[in-house]
Amino acid sequence: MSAALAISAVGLTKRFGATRALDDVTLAVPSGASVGVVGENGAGKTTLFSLMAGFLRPTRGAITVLGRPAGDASLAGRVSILPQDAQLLRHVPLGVQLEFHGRLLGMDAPAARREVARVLELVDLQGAAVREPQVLSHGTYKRAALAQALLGEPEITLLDEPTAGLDPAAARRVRDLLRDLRGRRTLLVSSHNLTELEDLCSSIAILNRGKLVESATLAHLLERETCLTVTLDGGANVDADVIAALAGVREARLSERSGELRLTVTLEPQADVAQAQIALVRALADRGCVPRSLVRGRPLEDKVIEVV
Amino acid sequence: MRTRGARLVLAFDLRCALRSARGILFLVFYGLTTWWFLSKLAEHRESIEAFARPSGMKRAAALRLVAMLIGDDGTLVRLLSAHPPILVFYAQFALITLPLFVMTGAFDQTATDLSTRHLRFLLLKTTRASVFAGRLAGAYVLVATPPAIVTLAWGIASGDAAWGARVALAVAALALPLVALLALLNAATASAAITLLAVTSWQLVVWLASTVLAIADERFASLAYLFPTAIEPMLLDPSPARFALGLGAALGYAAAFAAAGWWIFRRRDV
Repeated sequence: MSAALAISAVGLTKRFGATRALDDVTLAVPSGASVGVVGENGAGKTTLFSLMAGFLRPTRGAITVLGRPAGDASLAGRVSILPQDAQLLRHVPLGVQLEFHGRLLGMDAPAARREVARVLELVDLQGAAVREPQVLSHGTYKRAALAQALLGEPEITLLDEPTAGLDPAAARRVRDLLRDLRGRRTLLVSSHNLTELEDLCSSIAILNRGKLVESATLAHLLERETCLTVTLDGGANVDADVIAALAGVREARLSERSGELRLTVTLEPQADVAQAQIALVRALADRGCVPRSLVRGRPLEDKVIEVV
Repeated sequence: MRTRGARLVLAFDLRCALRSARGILFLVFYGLTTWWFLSKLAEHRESIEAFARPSGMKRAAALRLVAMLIGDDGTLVRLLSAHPPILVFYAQFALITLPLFVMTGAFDQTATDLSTRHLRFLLLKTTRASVFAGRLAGAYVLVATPPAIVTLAWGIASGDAAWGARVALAVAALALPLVALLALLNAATASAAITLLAVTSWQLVVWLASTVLAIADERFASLAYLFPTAIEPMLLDPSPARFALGLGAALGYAAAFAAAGWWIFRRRDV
């Protein structure tokens, strides 16, 4: 079983004094998967990543990474992480630190220097090698920390809020980078940006107060084969009953949020999603409604709010 | 353990230390203090050499006080008769002040890395053993090399290179358990400040307990062995057997402290 699993956690519990940061979490991450980890602040995301990386020892339960106990010496170089709250050495130039990291990964000095140049370019920090981390802005610091997680060829990369604090252009560049890594290594990404996770991940794990409350593929979780979500202007003239009467539609619900209308259409299990989509757009057009957006499935945000 | 990882950590640690406030403070502090003491020794060379004569030992009270730290009268007489007195006095200075210098240069091995979680950047690239051993070795090289070199050089300058080499070895040996003790406290407390406070308190309490309680009962004097500086007299003893015992004890202390530190470090959350 574990041969095809990148990460396997069984009954994982971590306590900090009286606080139960993670509570009986059982999770399996297949090799090559890209998994988004979602939850409110304090839900246990960082604790879960820290247990996977071997930084923390479980209070109870077990966790294996690439078939070895998390933190095992044999995992050095095979797993990388962007930790959320770790600090680089303040007074040592970034390039010197990254070169040291590269050498720890087994590279010789020239190879490590080339690798540093490569990863700094990936995060758009070509000129930052000579700068000390203490003078970097938050966003630049974050990208520098991300660069160290990209060194070498790890089989698993854990990214704890990789785009938090980045400006939109930098965040997009990081997303592009992660999209490129997807499928070539196992990726676990925690983020509060649910749109980003929908874009990047094939599976989602939702944590709430230390418990894993949902873990499934994104398609299954968001009912992408059985649900359509349409966003319309607030004043749109839509009748849910008319939509519910369309072929292949089981249920249609209208809700209003922040001045816009949301139409959630649940399809019959055997319905052709593409045909239903076309019929829905036509029905809306007949009533003079132009959708702002139409997506297959339900928004991840709704699902998360529903389960936490 | 990957020895390559430990060697890289050692080299990087030394490189950083020599460019950091900690490393520079240590070198300046050590250099100035040693320079001051050596200049005083040179200035009072004649008095010290006069003191070394049996008749002189009774007259120079201040020098006698310093010389008493070397050990009993028999040891003192044998040392002063066999080696240049100026070198004997320097040897005592080197060993007595060593804990202070070691604390200055080696008090922060893994503590700040633990408190800032910097270790999280390293531990998936190398092993905990490499980090612990590399940092310990880096701190040891930083704090033991300058005193050992100066001692050896002073021995050569004083005309007794062999004794200078032996004292340099004694200095290097005594530094080892002290650095290992700091590694243990770093791993246990994850705080450089608490490490300094703890090691200073430990030394003070052991010294007070072993000296004050020994007034009531001499057997309490052996409490001094709860801190590794108790082996200083062995390391200066002219007897090769006692010297070897001192070296063995230094290694024993170092092994015990390092093992305890590693036991904590490998299990602790970082």
